[in-house]
Amino acid sequence: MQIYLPIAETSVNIFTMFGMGTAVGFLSGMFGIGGGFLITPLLMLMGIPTAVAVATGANQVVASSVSGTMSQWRRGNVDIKMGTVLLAGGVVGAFLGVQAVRLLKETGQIDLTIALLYSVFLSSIGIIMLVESLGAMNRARSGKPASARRPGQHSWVHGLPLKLRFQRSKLYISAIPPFLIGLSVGLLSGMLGVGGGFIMVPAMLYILRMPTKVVIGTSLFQIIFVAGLTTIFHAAANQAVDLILALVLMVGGVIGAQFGASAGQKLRGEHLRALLALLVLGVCVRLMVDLFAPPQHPFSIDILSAGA
Amino acid sequence: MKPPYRGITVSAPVSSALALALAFVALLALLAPAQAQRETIEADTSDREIAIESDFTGAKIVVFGAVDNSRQPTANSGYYDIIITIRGPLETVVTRQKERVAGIWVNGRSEAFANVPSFYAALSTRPLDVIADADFLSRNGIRFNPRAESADQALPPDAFEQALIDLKQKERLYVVDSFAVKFLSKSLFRGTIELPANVKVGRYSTEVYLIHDGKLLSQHKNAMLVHKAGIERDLAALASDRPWVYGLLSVIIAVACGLLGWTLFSRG
Repeated sequence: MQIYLPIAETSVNIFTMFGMGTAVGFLSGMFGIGGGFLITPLLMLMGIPTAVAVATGANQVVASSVSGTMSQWRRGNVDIKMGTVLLAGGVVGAFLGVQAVRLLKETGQIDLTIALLYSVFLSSIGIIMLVESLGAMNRARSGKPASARRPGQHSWVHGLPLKLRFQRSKLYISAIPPFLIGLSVGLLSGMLGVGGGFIMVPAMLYILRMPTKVVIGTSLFQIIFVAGLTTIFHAAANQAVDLILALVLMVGGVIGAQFGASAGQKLRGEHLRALLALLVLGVCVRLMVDLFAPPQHPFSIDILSAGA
Repeated sequence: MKPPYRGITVSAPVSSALALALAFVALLALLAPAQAQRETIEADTSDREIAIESDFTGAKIVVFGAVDNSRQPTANSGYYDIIITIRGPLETVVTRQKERVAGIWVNGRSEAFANVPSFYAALSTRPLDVIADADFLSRNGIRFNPRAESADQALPPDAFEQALIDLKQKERLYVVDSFAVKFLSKSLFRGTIELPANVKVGRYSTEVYLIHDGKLLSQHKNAMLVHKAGIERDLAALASDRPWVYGLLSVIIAVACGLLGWTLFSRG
């Protein structure tokens, strides 16, 4: 069944969109990521204009993150205090990111710089996570304690001032590292137009050493706000949010997020991390293919404005 | 009694010359309609207005018309050629060339085109090149020529222009259908064109050209309006008139949707 989208100004199959929303929502609820980096390219593949794909994707992320956060919150897996500190950094970072884009645009080749940084970043995160989680799985199999967190082990992170007690995360650390993590992820979000959950999650796991389950809930919690602001900003600046498309994606997304959350609950922390590592590496490979493979057409067109 | 007749008396030779002249005029009058009245065309589209609603998947437009004073004996004589062009609202488009830098594909040189029709179709009875020469086609604006108005219209398109044509063609926003117009009788003709779902809203102009032997005999213009209707129109209007309200509304709907999904499908 086809449905016409008033903002995208094209017609799409309602069931395809619903299915895409469900699949991305499932991954979102399972890993605590927003899924904007998955939904946006999928929508573009279906012929949705880029600006609409980015903005509408953000709107769908709001719905599936609310759905996922609620179910994690019920299980006591949302650290609101940590989420707020991350978010505070994120807002500052996103603002700086948008400014950075403006500066880089003047020098040209911004797309290239971002894409390169991005793939280097993603591949290292993916590989580190994969190695760590596989190691943890091995240790679990051989009977040794399989914990990514080593309580009692102190790093530079623990020597900083402004210490706060994060009860849900079972941490007593300085507010500076989470603020800085929020800031750098926000910086990337502002530059790339993605929520950055799949960067935030590894950072919370490996730098802050939060428990895997709390990471998922807390990440989803702060993504609600990031994606919400992104949606409003895109609606105001580009009028690019397609509510009809968003609604179809959301219905799929919120259902998928519930199933994803309960699926994630059944998995062990290290299995979850290994799967997320594979997902991150998959995205990285896709980016590399875009960068290196010969394009389908040597040219691209873009509508600048309606003529007189 | 002789009537008071003061008529002009004419001699026999003069009167016979007058009769001849009268006969000639009568003959001219008989022949005149066929001789002096040239062919003209009239045409119209099946829809003057296309409303886009939620079930819109594109539209089929029939352009039909008639040749008045047609000289061809049957529909199949091929005496006339018809070209129909349909043009959508204008837009500014930029074409970017992808270039390889150190193994990586990046956007390189670009060229902007102003006033390019967002949709363009040319339907005809035979291929355009066969119907008329390139000069005629560009003079009458029949070719889809995305280029600056100052550029020499007769020159073949450069790589950027060709790319624009190719990519528009791929999106079915640029259509050339060489045998889409058919004569149904010696004067009636019709052509069909599909507007894809991704057409822009606005005014579409239709022009019909009647051609014989590479020369324009008659021309007819029409307009058609494509617009959004129902909820599609209301949403688009809200998005452009009150963008902040629209954005806020989108987020509120998303939050509500998330909460509803959680209550309905919560597992465990």
